[in-house]
Amino acid sequence: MYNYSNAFKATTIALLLSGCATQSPTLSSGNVEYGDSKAVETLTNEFGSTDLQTIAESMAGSLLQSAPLAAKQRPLVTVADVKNRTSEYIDTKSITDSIRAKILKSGLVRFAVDTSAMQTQVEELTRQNQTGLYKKSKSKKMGNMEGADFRIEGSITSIVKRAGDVKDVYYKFSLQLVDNESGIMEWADEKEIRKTSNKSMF
Amino acid sequence: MHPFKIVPLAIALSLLSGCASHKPPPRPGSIHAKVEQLSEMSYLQITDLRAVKRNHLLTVQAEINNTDSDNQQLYYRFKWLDADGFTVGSEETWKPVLVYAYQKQTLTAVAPSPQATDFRLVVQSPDNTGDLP
Repeated sequence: MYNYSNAFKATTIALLLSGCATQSPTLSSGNVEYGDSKAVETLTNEFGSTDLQTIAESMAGSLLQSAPLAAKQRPLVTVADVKNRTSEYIDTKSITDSIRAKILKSGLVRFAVDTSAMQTQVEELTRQNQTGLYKKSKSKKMGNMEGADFRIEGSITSIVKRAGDVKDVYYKFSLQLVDNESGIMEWADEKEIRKTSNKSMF
Repeated sequence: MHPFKIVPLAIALSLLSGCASHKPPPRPGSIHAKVEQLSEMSYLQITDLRAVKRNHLLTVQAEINNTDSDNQQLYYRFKWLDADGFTVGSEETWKPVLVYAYQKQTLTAVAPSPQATDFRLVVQSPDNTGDLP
């Protein structure tokens, strides 16, 4: 009887203890943790993830509401160059990729391959048509690519000012939508960002 | 009952009652039904919300009123929902906005796709009471 009682108590304590300690499916040294990729990042005042995401959201929303895109049934658009005119390195392709992804997800616009992807497109068509490896009836034909109705182009500029311990950075991201046939700029918008940092402790 | 035994009981009861929300659920269609506050804001109030479909996309405009004499920092993002209440698209990034003293600031957003028929405005301000909404 005594042994049963002790065993019961031990089991109960073990169950309670194991119930309190939750095991996460992680293997960590304790120094690394995952964070929120959508959090506002203000580690430095250089161009950061929040700037990229904010610009992409703002421009995609504005572009989808633009009259020239709304007037056509799923218009075909291509992305041209976005020039980096700031004093720092910014991957402008990453910004336009994000804008393109957001616009594509709406289902209201289609995108033609841009100049950076054209080499891959040509190589694929050449492989299907000229290597003799593919059935003629199943290979995608040359000469059926569609020209984009519009192209998106733009630039990012910055003004950096320092006064003592204070550094102020102003970014301006400009985007335009140009009709490829007429050469008319049909839409333009800008997104401005100001970031100020202070080195002084007091 | 011994008076010292009543004290822990009272603390436990007050803690339990603190967990349970006393506020009634917001009325459907009201501003509170569309706004998710990550802790109640002391100085910033959402005074107006408008939503309209433009070019097949839900467009929302919110008006934030700063009732304080100091500038207030606000972080916000929109959640987009389809007709069945499922989220549409990926999570939006948190956006910082500086609202000047006694200023009325307008926030606008466009839904990521025509499937979005409803929205929630998620807001957080560092200066708040710390109470859950």
